[in-house]
Amino acid sequence: MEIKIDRDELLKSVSKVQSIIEKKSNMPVLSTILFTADNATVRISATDLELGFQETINAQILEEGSITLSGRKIFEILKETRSSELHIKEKENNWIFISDGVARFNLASIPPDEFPAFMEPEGVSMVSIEGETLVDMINKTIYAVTAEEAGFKLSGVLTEKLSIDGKNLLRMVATDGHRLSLIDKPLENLETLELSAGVMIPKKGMSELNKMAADGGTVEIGFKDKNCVAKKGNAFLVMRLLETNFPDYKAVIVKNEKDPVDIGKAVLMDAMRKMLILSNERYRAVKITLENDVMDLVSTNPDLGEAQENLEIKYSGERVEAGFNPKFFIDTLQSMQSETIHLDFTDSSKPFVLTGDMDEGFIGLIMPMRV
Amino acid sequence: MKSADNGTMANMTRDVTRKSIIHLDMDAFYPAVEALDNPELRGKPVIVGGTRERGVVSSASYEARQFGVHSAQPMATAVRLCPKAVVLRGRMGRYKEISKEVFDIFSRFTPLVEPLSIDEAFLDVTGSERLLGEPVNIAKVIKKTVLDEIGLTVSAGVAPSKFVAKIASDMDKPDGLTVVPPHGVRAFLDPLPISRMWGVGRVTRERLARLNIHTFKALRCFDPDFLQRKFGKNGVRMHRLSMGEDERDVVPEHEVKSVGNERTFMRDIQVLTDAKKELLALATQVGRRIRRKNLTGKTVSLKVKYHDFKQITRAKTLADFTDDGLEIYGAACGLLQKTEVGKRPVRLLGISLSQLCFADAAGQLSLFTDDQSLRKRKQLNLAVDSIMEKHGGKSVRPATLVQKTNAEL
Repeated sequence: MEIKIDRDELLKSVSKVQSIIEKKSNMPVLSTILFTADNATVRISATDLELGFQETINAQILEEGSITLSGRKIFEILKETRSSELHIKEKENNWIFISDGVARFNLASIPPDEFPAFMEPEGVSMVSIEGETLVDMINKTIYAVTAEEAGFKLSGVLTEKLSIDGKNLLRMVATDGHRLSLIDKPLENLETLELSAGVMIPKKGMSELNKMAADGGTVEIGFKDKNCVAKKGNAFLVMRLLETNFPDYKAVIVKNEKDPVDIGKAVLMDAMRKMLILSNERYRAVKITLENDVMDLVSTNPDLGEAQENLEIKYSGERVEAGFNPKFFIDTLQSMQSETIHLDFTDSSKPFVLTGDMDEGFIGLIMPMRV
Repeated sequence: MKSADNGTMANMTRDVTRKSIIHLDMDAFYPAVEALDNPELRGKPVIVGGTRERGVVSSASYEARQFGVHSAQPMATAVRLCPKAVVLRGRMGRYKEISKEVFDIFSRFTPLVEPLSIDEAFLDVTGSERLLGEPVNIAKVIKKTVLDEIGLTVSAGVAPSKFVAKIASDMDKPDGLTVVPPHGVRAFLDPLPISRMWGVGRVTRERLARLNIHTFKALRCFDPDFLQRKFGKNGVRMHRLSMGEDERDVVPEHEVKSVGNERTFMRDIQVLTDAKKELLALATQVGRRIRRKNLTGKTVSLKVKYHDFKQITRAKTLADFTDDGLEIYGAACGLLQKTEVGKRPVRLLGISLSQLCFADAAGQLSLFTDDQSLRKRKQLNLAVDSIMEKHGGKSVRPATLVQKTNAEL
């Protein structure tokens, strides 16, 4: 293989896959990028076996073929060089010659046939979704995904289609067992998707999908053979789906009978941030009390001291109090657009429910803490 | 010259091995703090504890104790005995705060402070004599400092060992100071009833009573070999304690990073089911230990040493903090699949729990777990713990472990 390729184009592509390639793996080939040159394009591929990314970019092909290159090293070379073009040439015994016209590199490489095969996205029925919509859905769920591998298989976002009142909705739900976030968005042609039961898209895949959708335009997504495929322009992403063993989340979403309390998002968020100052690994719970048109927040930390803030609200019901982790509130509030938050709060054993008019289809649940 | 030198050496050696331990115990700590914050409560019977309906007494003021109120008593009984008592729910945060202040005072006198609980500590002042004077003087100064700076009284026991110091501090409560010099240990212990001995619960006491042993002296006069035959290792331990022999050092508090337990087997374990039994025993113990420290943990590690001394560890992080032996056991069994246990002979198994968190901070409720069953498990653990506290570590165990485990054969 021999190519001449635009430095900026390649850098854009190579930086995208830095988060996919394995830094340390017992399969060295997973830390490489596969370059495949044919006709007038080069296909860049990277995978960690769970997740694969491919992008086709234009280049001057001097000789067709494929090579692998250390993803990290080619990224560093591209960052350091000031030249606008890179010359990459395969030599004998998997040596790769790279030149920016000034410096010359000879890099050892792994034979390209060791690179894992990719699922071809051909023949997958796909639907279009606005990048903006997808980003919103992901941002409203991804933070609630369990950070570490857990007993529940919750390390992904449950994605399913449903139909309510004749409207087709795409739903994403995430939970770590302590809080849950759910978002529904109407989507055209949803019925064509092979999404009979729900599927679990892993967290890493979701964050890659988020990046893909982030710079505007439409993204096409589809499902096939335990994979989720997303396509945008010349790039596509294949995500291996997780085993679904999602808990019965519908059972925990119960509408409370009381009217929710309305509160300004900014005010609540600021207060939570202040409460967080005195919370640490040992003392995490902040106490919230609703009584006589006041929301009282108290954070007590025997090692440090106490913080307290009163927020004005409209509330004339019975006095209610509960403990909670302020971090959970901040995460949820951050993902919401509404200026006014509806906070639904029954008692110290039931979840707080957060909704907002500007966040249609969204519902956030936060379980209290024992105090 | 030579003999004089020898004499000095001998004296020095004796001085080095002879320890000066102070045991400090706050008097009716929770009610005392309440009275400190609210002067109206002073001199009144105050009971801190749970609700009148279901709760128990955590701590009672001396005024309340005169009516027969004592800790761990059902609150309903306590209120019946002392209807005039002021009953308070208790403010753990505030007690911890004061406790910290008190411990800060303790550590001005020696870095060797070993907290036993929120209101009790051992201090080793062996090296401090030259600087601070006789241990009894140090105890007096500490008592005065705590009273002057915080306004609470503390009882002190001064003795050459932890065991004797702890008994001594209890002799003259409240505001007591009891000194047991090295040559006075026997005279001090001899008349005490055997129930004063740490680890002697109702069952052991009854067994000793059948041998007509009611006091420390009676126990001390028994043949230690006989006691060993009769009570095993515990018999030897009790005999030594009856003479005031307790070499345990004062271990200053260090941050606990993990709580674990491991066992080397007399005979290598060949079969998977045997390994699982051992894990159940280990996990149950780890659960108990973690609860005793009021901690919970998230990461379970399994350690396996094969017959050829090759050792591996495997770890798993749970979704939630736990202090439950069965849950730890479940995780350990899962990890077992990542080992060659059952295929290769195993000489040691160990389980530890890390990524620890104080039980208070782990009160995050779950959306999905059936809280009811969780609460029941917690209650069960609590009950089992208190049975073990009373009747010893082997009094209650999972049915699969009723048969002797490998280590006990």
